[in-house]
Amino acid sequence: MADKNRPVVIDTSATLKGNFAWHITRAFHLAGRCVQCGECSRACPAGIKLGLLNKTLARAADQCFGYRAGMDPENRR
Amino acid sequence: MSESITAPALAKLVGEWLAAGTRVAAPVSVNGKLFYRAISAAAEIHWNGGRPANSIKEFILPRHERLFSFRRNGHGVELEEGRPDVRDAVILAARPCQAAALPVLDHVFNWDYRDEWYNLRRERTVVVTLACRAFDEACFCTTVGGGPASSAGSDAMLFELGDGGFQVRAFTGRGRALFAGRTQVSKRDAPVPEGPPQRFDAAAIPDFNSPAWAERSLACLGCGACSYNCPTCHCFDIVDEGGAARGVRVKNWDACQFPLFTLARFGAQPARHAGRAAAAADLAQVPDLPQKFGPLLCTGCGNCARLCPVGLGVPEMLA
Repeated sequence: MADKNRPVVIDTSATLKGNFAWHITRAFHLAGRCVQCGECSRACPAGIKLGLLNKTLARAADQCFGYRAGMDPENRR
Repeated sequence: MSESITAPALAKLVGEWLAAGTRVAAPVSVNGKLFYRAISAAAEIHWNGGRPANSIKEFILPRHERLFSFRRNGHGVELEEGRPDVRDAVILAARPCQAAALPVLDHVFNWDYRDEWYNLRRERTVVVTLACRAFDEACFCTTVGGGPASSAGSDAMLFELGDGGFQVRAFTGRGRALFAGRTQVSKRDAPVPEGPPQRFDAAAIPDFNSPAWAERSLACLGCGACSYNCPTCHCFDIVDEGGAARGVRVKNWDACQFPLFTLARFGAQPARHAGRAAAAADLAQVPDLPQKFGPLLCTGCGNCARLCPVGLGVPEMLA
């Protein structure tokens, strides 16, 4: 869904609706993948701590599936 | 002989502007980062140097604006025109490189089409800059014809006197009117600040069609941080949001660094190549643009270099 841009699924407007839709979609895509390097927070020109969203979903992945992204050297997927 | 204003007198003046309903935007520290923001009290202003991460353009060219809303009504369509947020405004303590972008934007929004809302806001905004006493490693105003006390785009400029007070130099009638009766004659002149060294030769920028651009921009992630925080970048996109039955037509900032920039429904993307090269050369070598909007659109503020997560930016691209 996030890759389909015609028609526009997520508003490009920098409004509560547009920003919320984009960031929630992004965070969902990173659940179970984000290794929490923190680069998103460091790179954000607006000083938004984006990593907090990822952290929340990482916790959910851990609680629901006992999975922590990037922590198992045997798991190369 | 010059004119000066004390810090308490300036704070009082700002308070009066705010009380009169004037929007005042100034550098504000938010969690340790500086931004140009609308303030509600003079005490919020961060006077102690540093460069805000954003630009002042958002107070005249908002990042999002609702042009009109539409609703299907039987076989017809009802339109309701949007209302621009226009009021008296003062942009205070902006860096001179920020103000220098405004004359460029004026050309852009009055070239073939007079942008009514842009001009409404511009006409009611007075720009008071603060001369730079220091520069950082990203600053390069002097390379592109500016300087730490360059007056382009400023209605008035403040120079720090070192005791909390400011020397005031007005360049326009609006700038003079803003401080009329509020300054005192001062015997002291603020020292003329020193600018950053030359970072590259602005006259030797590679040609627009040079293959060098593709190579130099390989590391670009396309995040748009450079364009959105550039005082001169001004591209916008007009899109409909909502559905066929009802929705809004909005005008949002756009950036040539995005993969969908100017992508047309039939697949052509006329400005894709232009985008990469243009951002790199900051439009200096794009055919037509310098003639239309100014010899060099870049003001050397360095925001692109400070914010780029992969270490690109105008000086890095051209050095």
